[in-house]
Amino acid sequence: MTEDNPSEVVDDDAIEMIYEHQEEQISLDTVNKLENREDHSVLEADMVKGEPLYPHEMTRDAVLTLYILALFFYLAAFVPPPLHKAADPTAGTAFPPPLPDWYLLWAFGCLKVATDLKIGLPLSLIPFLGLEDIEIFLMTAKVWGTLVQGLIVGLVVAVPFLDRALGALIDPQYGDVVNRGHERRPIEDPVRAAIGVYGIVMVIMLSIFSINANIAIYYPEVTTDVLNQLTIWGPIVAGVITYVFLDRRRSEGAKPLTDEERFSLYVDGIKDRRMQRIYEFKLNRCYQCGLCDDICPVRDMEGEHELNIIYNTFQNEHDGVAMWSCITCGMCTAVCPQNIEYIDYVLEQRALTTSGASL
Amino acid sequence: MSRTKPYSRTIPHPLFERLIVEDAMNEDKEAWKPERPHEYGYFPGCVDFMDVEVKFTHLNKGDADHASIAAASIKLLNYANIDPLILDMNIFKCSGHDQLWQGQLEVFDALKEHNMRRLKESGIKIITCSCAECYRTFAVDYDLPGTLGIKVEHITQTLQGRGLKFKAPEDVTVAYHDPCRLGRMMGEYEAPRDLIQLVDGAKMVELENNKERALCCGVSSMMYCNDATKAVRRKRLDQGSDAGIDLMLGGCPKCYMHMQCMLNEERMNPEEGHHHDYEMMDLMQFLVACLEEEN
Repeated sequence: MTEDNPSEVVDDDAIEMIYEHQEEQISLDTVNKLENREDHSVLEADMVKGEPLYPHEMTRDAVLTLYILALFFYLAAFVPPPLHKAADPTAGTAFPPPLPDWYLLWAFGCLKVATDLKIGLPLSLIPFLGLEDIEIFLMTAKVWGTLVQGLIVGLVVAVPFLDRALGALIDPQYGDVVNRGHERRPIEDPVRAAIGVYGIVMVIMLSIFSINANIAIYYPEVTTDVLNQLTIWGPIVAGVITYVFLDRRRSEGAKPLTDEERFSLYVDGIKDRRMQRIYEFKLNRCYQCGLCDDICPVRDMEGEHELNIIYNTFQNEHDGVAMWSCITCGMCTAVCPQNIEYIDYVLEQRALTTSGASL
Repeated sequence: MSRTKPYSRTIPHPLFERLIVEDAMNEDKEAWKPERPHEYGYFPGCVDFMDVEVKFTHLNKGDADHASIAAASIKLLNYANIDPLILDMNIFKCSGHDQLWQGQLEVFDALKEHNMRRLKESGIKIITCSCAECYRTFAVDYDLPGTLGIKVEHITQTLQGRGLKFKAPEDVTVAYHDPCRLGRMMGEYEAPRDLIQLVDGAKMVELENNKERALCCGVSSMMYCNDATKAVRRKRLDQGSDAGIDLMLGGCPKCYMHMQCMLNEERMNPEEGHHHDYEMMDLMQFLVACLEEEN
């Protein structure tokens, strides 16, 4: 058969040669990898590969910028803007009054809420002197209302600076935020979440308060006083509800599992929402930087491809190898920017897997 | 409800693991009282069991003497004017570190219950261990400071700052290998290094990876000794050769056991071509050797 079709013989030979070549390549790669192990590890890696700013990014940005500039010149030269009628200074005041754009309503609300700031000294209460009450005028409503806006924006700017100090005051364990990193989910930090909700609701209520005159046209029963009370109490109630809700969820999630739940977790995997939360609490700080993977001595010696240990464990996608070939040396935790205690998780999983079978 | 997955892997039981499990399951309810009160207690750990393991199996080719770590520790404690109560295996049981990390919670709980009762009876204030694994287990898993109010120390911390003086028999270059339990888990990097600095004639160099980035000896809780874990160990030993040391010192008998095993194996099979021209020693053995020279 092969004599009839010599091309097939050649094909077979070629395929064999290709196989041999591939095998050689694989063994060479393995030898190289073993010899240059250091290159593979984060310990010695000091450069990150990427695209340079010049000329790659620079050229692209210059082309786009010049194109848009040319477009502007064209429009300015050949398509002049339309002119409307001249303004009429004799026209009467509009009712309902004109409003600023929606995203500036809260600033408008600040101006409306503000009143003249005065300090009253009740000197007439002091006996035998016959003094009269004095009222010290601090600032007008206009100035105060404008300053309040700056104060709010300034607070937002100051949050990253005040955050750690205030956090340490509220929760003493919060002090090690430098090592630990911030919580990313509201459920893990109810206090900050409640403050955030308070701010958002406050902005919404201020915006609603600012259009009180417009509301009064359609709903006469919603008076300015009602709106005033809502602006004060609404955000507080919303913040307290947020805190209570999140705190309950947190304590529920941190509770240890019962034996039955642990067992079903082993058999069926993570399905129940409550159990899932417990695992999230341990591992959800992972942002898949892969440092644990680079440093893991087991992966260095055993793993061909990236295991992404912590992340895959969080996703419940590890195949069990990580659980039993882990030498629990703790190097992943030592390099982890989020200080995830992976070996604690391994410990728990081993206890789960062998429970009752060790004797 | 039944298990849908069969066990894909089993945990191997070395001889001394079986011995410890048998020991743990034999309940010992007798009361015990030390002859006189002590402030310090010294817990040698399972070094005796390790010797049994080494003598009856092919491991280590037979020349390692782990019990000398315990003897050395007691000698050093006496040298530092400490009279410790020896919490040996006649009275106590294994701390249960390996059983815990293998997932054998029943065995660990039995060992813990026995040891906690004995510790309460012993009336000591401070317990010191020459084994990093026992140290971690007592401090974290037993939580002795929280439950019984007993302070847990590694022996290097006990000996640190007591004005000890050592002199090496000859000039040596040594490197300290951080055990994972003592270093990364308990955060003690300085005490062993301070002790080595006290030795006159010993020059200490740092291995390429040290402190919290120290490489592992490859086996923890006696679970696997296979090609992959040997590769981990070899990488660490290669770093020692690169640093040009005469001695590698460890703070944990297990590190000593595994590293020395590898070195012995290389010596028995010279045709394989891997050779590291130095010895592994436990820090306590090294310090005692330096002590006798001074006397």
